[in-house]
Amino acid sequence: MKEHPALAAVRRTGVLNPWVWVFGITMALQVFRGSMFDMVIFGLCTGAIWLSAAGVLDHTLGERPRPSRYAIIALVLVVTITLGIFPRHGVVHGSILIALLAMALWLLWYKDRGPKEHADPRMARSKNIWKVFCLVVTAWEFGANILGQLNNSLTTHPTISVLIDPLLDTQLGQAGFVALWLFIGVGLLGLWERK
Amino acid sequence: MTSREIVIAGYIAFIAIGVLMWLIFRAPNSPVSTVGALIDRIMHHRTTRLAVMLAWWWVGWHFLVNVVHR
Repeated sequence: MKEHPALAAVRRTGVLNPWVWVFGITMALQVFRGSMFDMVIFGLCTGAIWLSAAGVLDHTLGERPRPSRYAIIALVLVVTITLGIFPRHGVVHGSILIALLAMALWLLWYKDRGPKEHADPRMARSKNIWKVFCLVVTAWEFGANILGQLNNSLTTHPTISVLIDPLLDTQLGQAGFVALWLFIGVGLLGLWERK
Repeated sequence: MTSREIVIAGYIAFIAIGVLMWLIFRAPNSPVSTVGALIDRIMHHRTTRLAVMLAWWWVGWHFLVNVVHR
């Protein structure tokens, strides 16, 4: 069925992209919890995602960068050691995190490899199951956050942050978190695959 | 059970269910695709890649640079 021209015109603006809404709502939640700095970060993210969805920046897309595995291992090791040794919340962590953001943007900003194939039944099931799982976890976390704010207490309805943050107070916990976080980042970007 | 215990029990249950699903779906005859194949598909479009990686980056920023109130 052909899409109505008005709807197609709205779609081209990128405003219907679900990620714009996910980040927009998360930005609103930051206002609610009084975290102005996170509000600015999520505001900028929402703007960047909207621009991407609208195709405004398409002319800047290039070929997919393929860094060598040695470079990836070296970077992960150096970053894990540096972020694991220095105390958190300092200039070192801030600078490295900004550099990692720039690197991640460079690594993900490439042309899509044609239209997405239709999901087979196995993939469709996987998509639906994990979508429901993520929505339930998000609702639980948002619910804890909102109830905590309403009760003016971070301990009666703890969020994931409140529970995980104390684990990072030890050197081992901090280094372990950094290694796991980088490992997930490398996996999400598909830097290890060679197809 | 206090509200705090219920919330924490929920998180623990989510971790257990997530790990269990991840393992079950890895079986060769599983009727559900693996997490790896799903991520590969999700990361197909540039805007989704951007959103997922920004979310990933914020988690690092949140714990390593921001001060978490607790």
